[in-house]
Amino acid sequence: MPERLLLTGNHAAAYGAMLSKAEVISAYPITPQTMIVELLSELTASGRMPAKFITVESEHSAMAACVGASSAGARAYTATSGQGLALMHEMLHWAVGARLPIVLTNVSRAMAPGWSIWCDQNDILSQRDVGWMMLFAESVQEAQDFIIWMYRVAEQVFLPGMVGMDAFILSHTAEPLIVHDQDAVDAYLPKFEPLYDLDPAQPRAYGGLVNRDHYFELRYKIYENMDRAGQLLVEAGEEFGDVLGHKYTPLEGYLLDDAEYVFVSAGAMTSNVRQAVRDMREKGIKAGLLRVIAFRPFPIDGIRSILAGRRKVAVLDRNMSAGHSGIFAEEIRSALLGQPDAPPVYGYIVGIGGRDVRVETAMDICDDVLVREEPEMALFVGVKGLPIGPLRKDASIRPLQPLEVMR
Amino acid sequence: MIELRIHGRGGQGAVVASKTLAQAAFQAGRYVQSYPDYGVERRGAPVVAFARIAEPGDDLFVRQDIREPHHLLILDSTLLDSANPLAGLRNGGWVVVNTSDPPDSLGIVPRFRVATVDASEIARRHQLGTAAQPVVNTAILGAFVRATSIVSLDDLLTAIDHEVPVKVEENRMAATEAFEQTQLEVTV
Amino acid sequence: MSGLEHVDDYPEIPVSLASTSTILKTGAWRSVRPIFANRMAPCSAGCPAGVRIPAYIDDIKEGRLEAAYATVTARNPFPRITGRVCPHMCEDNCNLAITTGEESISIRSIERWLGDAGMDLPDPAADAETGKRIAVVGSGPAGMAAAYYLRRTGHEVTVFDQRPQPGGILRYGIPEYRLPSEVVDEEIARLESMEINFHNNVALGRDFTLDDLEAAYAAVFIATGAGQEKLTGIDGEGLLESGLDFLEAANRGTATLPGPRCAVVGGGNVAMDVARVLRRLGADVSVLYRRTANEMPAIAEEYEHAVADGVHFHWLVLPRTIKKDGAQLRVTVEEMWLGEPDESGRLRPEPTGVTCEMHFDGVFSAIGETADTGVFPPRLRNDDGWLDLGEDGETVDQMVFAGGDLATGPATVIEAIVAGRRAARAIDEQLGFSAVWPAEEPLEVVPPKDINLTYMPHHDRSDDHAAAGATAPASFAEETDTLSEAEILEEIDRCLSCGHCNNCGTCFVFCPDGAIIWDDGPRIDHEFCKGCGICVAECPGHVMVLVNERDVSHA
Repeated sequence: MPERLLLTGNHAAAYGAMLSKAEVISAYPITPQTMIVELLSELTASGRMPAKFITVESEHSAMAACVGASSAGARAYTATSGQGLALMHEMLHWAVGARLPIVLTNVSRAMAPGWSIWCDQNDILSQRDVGWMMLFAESVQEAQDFIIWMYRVAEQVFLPGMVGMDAFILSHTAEPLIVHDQDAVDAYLPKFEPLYDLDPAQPRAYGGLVNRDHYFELRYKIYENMDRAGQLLVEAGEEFGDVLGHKYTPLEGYLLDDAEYVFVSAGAMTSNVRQAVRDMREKGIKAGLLRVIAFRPFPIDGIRSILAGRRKVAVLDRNMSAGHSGIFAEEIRSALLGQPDAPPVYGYIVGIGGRDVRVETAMDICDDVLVREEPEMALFVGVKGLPIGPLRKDASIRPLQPLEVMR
Repeated sequence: MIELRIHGRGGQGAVVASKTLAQAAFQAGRYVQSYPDYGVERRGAPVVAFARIAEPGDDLFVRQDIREPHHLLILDSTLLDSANPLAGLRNGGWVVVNTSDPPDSLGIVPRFRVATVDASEIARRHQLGTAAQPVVNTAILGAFVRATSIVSLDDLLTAIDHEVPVKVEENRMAATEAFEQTQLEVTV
Repeated sequence: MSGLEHVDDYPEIPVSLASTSTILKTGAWRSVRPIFANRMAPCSAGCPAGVRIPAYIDDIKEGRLEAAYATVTARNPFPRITGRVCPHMCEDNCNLAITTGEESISIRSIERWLGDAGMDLPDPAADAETGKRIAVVGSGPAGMAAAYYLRRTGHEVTVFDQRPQPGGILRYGIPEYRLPSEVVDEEIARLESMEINFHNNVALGRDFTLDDLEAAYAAVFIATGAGQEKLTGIDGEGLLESGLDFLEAANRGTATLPGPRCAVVGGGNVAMDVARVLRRLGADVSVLYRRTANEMPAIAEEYEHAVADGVHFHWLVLPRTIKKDGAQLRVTVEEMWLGEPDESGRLRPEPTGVTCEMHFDGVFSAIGETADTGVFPPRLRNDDGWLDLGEDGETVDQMVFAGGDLATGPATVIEAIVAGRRAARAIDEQLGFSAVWPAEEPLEVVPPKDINLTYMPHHDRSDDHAAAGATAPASFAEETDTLSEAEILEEIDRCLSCGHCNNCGTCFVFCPDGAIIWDDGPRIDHEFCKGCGICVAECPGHVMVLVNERDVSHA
């Protein structure tokens, strides 16, 4: 029977890995993710979770161990955050090229320096082009469920996937969580059948040298399978509802039907944008919310059909690609380019380094987007001393005062 | 949606208090959130924890800092002088303070309601924590329940069973005693 | 991945299609290859017998005692003896000592322990009987070694000796406290158990002639030693007692003190032995030497023991006359000074003309020993009267060989053993046989710079302990104890195993390509070795070397 417990996002992720019957977990602790693997180590040590927990000396090795385990046919899981995900980067590529359906949870944390344990999504979005599927959780429930959903699809296309969860706002917040019935999860997620068996009796070379006559085809197949995953996410999300009681979709809308102004958000701050959209409606503004759950594969068709014909689209990005814009805004603009009835896309950058993104913040953005005429690539919200707006034109580098004294 | 803020010092159990209160409301069928203020935690340093409890009809929950709480729990009365705990408290909100002094002696402005209980003494009596560093969280929750009635004492005691890792019976007795000994003062 | 013309022909991942990894034989990338080289450790190179020391140390470490003993006895049949009396030239160039400044490995102690342990081990069976009879004259270390190897190669061996018991200098020269007679007895018993015949109390030139032997035996090996003290040239020579004769008497238990104050003239090992035996008999002993401690030919260890025993040393004095004065001897000595180096490289003592007189009850000569070659036919001798010998001890008579101190003058036990072994081999080959003899070709010695100390544990050196009760001046009991097995194993742990693979596994651990295969030990899979050289760099004893691929024969 399913159980209702009050748990943090981190513990929910650990339950997600346990319900998925991950067989090998290899991880290195890093705040704010540590509670995930702490609980998993307890669950494996106590025997409640029949899995092998491999301790390693770095995130790079953690992913390498997952690569080995997955190659050998085990369902492998890890969790990391921020700098840890960055250190994993090389092995993330390996998991893709070796077509290993590993799942990891990344608790999004701003990158150092300056050292920060607070949330923004630049860590996970820096891995955009590696070839991992990516889902962004909004609630503690999703922190658990998306792991199960991700394995289901990953093991059909033989590509790895990561679930993003925002630091502290989800990772350390306790909320009611439905822990699914294990038999139901087993019915949803069958045993992992690896693409290739590692058989000592039939030694083969894996991941060897591929000359320029052949590499392109292998990569083509990765692209092809990532594309397939888009439809599979829809089907598996539907089936999740049938078997486990809640349907998931790559995109989620709120009050969209007649919305003229669509606010786009991803991750935990979406809860506040949703509340703000309701408040806008109460003020008579035809506002709606589009939440992006799947970032890779990017649901291009859904975004095109949902956004076509709207008056304005405001994208809230808790990340920034310096020199361009917010990353979600950039992706949505490129999806809409050349489409009939494509709306103008206003990119808003918010909440960097854990700055609180509040209902009022979304309301301020609403006020701005209603009156702003030109869509801007990047509009910064909440930088001290500056109104919402694009970059200043007249900024100059200001050395530290003591340096001038020394001179 | 009811928003609560708990002020304490590292070691007093403020984070567990938040979780226990949320658990009590959760058992009563309400949607809840509980989270600590994510800072560096160490014994004796000021600590803040938060909780949200749904009211009938609430269907959306937000995920942002609680800046204007409905009620406060203050686990160490010295924080009244140093930590400005009343900031943002809504009018008519309860300030539940761990002190042996009566409510009207704390000098809290009349737009708030004050409840006091000597939670430290109760905790010491039940050997919760050490004599110098009593763990007062379950006792102050008893006082909070008495003052606000947001959850019932029974729900609180069941939540203590669920959330408190050691000395469950002593904690239940501390909460019950505090519930009974709380001094309330309506100063509106 | 040939024949892949369409994207659908491809597997999902870069995996070899064949179950053998034919497409990835990375060995083809290699321009140099590592090999396990046959190299010489400096200890083995320093040993006159060339005993492969790291090999037997490795065998001991792994518990293969029989193999260890066989490794030693292939080149030196008597580790029990040399483990006690050898000046251990092997320890002089230890790479551990050179590279770390620590003390060298205590090789002689290990050898001694192995020699003692070897008494319980079988000797290798003799080769098939050849039917050839061979005579060995003299049963000291050279004769014993020759007899041992000739018997092992299947010949019938008879050893003749003029004294009542075999052993020569081992029994009658070296004092009991350095080499107990039981040890000699047991080693002789080993030889007897190999069916070597011993004829005692028979002397060449007295009881038989060389011609008699040549008539009766297929070959003869003569090793009668250097049993005569050289004349000192002192006025009053007749008043001197022979150091060697005194040692023999001491070993027979018949030595007596001429009086409480004695002098020994000379600075070699015999002088040290005589002085220390005299001390044990209760005398006050002075060594009179014409040079200084730096030039003394005695091995340093024996000098140190003599000092510890309370022997007095008088440097730069040369006795000129000895006169009897009642019961006492008055010795006039001339003081010397050191001039230019002589042909031996030592500073030459020059007379100063200053004399003084010393008084003793007895004076012993030990300035050097020489051989009595008068018993040999003139055809075997050269113009100086010494035997005229080839490299392996061959004489002008095809079937007569000689060696040991007889040929070289007084030298070490191990050098005598080597002479016996070389002569045995020459005889064996001369007789038309070809037993498997250990290789003698010179090998490249592992230099200190090639050693990798990173993985070596560090212990202090263990030497043989002074035996309880044997340190008192009056005791003739063996002065040291053999180390325990535990001490030996700890000492062995210090050995870098220069040039000898002791299966330490470092190459296996470090090879980044898994090209080291481990069967009983490491083997290189050259199909996959890319020639990176990490194994060679990490190999602690530099057993592995890189060779140019072009130079490797593909035959």
